Amino acid sequence: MKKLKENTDENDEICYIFEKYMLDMYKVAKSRLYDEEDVYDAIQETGYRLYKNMKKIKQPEKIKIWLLKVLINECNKIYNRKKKEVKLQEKIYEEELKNVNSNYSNEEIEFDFIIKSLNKDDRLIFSLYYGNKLTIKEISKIIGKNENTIKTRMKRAKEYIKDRLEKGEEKYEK
Amino acid sequence: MKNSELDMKLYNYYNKIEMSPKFYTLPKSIAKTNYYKNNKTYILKLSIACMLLLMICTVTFGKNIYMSILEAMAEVHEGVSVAINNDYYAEIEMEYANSNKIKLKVSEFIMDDYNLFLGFKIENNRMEEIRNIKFQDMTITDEYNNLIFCDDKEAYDKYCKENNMRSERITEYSLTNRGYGIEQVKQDGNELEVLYKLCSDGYPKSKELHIQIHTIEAKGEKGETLKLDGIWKMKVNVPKEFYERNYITYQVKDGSDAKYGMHIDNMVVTDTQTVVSYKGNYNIDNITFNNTEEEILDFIDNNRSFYDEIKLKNEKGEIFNTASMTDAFGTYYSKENEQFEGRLPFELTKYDITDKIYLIIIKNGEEKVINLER
Repeated sequence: MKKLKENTDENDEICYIFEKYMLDMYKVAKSRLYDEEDVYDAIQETGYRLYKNMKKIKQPEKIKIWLLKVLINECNKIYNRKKKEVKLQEKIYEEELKNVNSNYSNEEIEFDFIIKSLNKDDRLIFSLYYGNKLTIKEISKIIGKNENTIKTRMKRAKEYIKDRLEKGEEKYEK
Repeated sequence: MKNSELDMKLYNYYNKIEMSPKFYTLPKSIAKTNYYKNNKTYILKLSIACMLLLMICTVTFGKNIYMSILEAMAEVHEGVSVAINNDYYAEIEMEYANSNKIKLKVSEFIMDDYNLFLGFKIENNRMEEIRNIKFQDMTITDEYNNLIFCDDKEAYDKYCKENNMRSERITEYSLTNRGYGIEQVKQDGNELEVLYKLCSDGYPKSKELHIQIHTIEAKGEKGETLKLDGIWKMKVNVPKEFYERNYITYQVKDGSDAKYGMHIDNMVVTDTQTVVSYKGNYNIDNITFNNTEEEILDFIDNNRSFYDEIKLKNEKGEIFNTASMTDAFGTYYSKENEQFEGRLPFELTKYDITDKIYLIIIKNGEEKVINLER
């Protein structure tokens, strides 16, 4: 496999890849899991799988897509494990409190709250499109939904955000 | 607000996301600790910790965290999620049925040939808080008195008596429990939401659903079981898109229908899922038809004679796995036809079909394909 950095051994190479895409992975994991510890675990597991499968990845230019796919699976596993845990709802409130106590403006806090109120699939799509700047086609490959479905979801979610911002309305077909 | 303005807001929002410092050290810590070698132990410890936490929280709180009835519906399986994404669901406008200080109404609805999902909103105006609602004797019929759902013979007899129906008139949608599930979606003070997920091997194209409940079972504040009697009658006017629904049938065209002794009859694709019907005779040396049906089916369950893995693929290469099974599906022995027959649900919906669909059967590491066309 072509080295991404010259004169490095494999460990350094994996480390480099991981550092390069860390923030992108964080944005995606955070869209799926509210808890920072869960986000950390999901990314850590993804790192383990990168170690295990590095040699099998034949197209290094597609490594980001692979990483995000694995990460989303790990996030789903953690989410499903904790699905019946009522404390997840409390975590959402804790996260909101951090916003309120931070230096964010009221407008930014409100926008953050609206984004978090989206359906989990829509949040994921947004984090891939706006956070990771992927194309619809690439998103379709990662999450396994067809491109039209993704476009429809984005359109509906954006209409919901617009309504919330402009009129404070909550009608949203999740 | 223009789309371009909102796009800019979204780009800025995601660009501003910051990680806490511990994430920056994660790559190096993974590299250093050779984490993957210890992974099995870690997973085991994490799994045990999560299981313990789950048990504690479930016992203490017993509460789901679905955001909405629609989200709970979408979680049934991927096919239902796709249907909802394509607007195959309805919000029902109706008055509450009010009895014994409890109000009930249907709020969200999905119906096709195999699935009927009813989301109920409940308002509890009693002194005590209640949770974990179950409609103990719910009966659902349609405008032709087809029995859509009833889990209780006594309730059905009572319904027939009240409605001047002969109680022998049991249709194929009847008392035999085709499988159903209940999700407690919301339990917030006096407002509750419950999702009933009903399954059948073929719902009719009903225009009205008549729902009748006489007893609600619930848990009280101290976990005690309560039975609340009343009369809750609701009528759902089924939206047109559901009773005018159609399904798409696929057949095997090229004679490839028989693989591993499994003959495919046909495949039916609806808005929420696909069902493949098959029949076959097992090539089993040590089983004869003198064995009881149960023994034969036990053998099948233990040996999975027809397949190890089975899935569908469309012409775009998209894979669709089997959907969650209920009593409406599975393999059974037909004495009349002296063969095994079965029906398997898959997560493929009408929204993802192509002219050709491939049924992929994997057994003992070998893969065979059956070609289906509409």
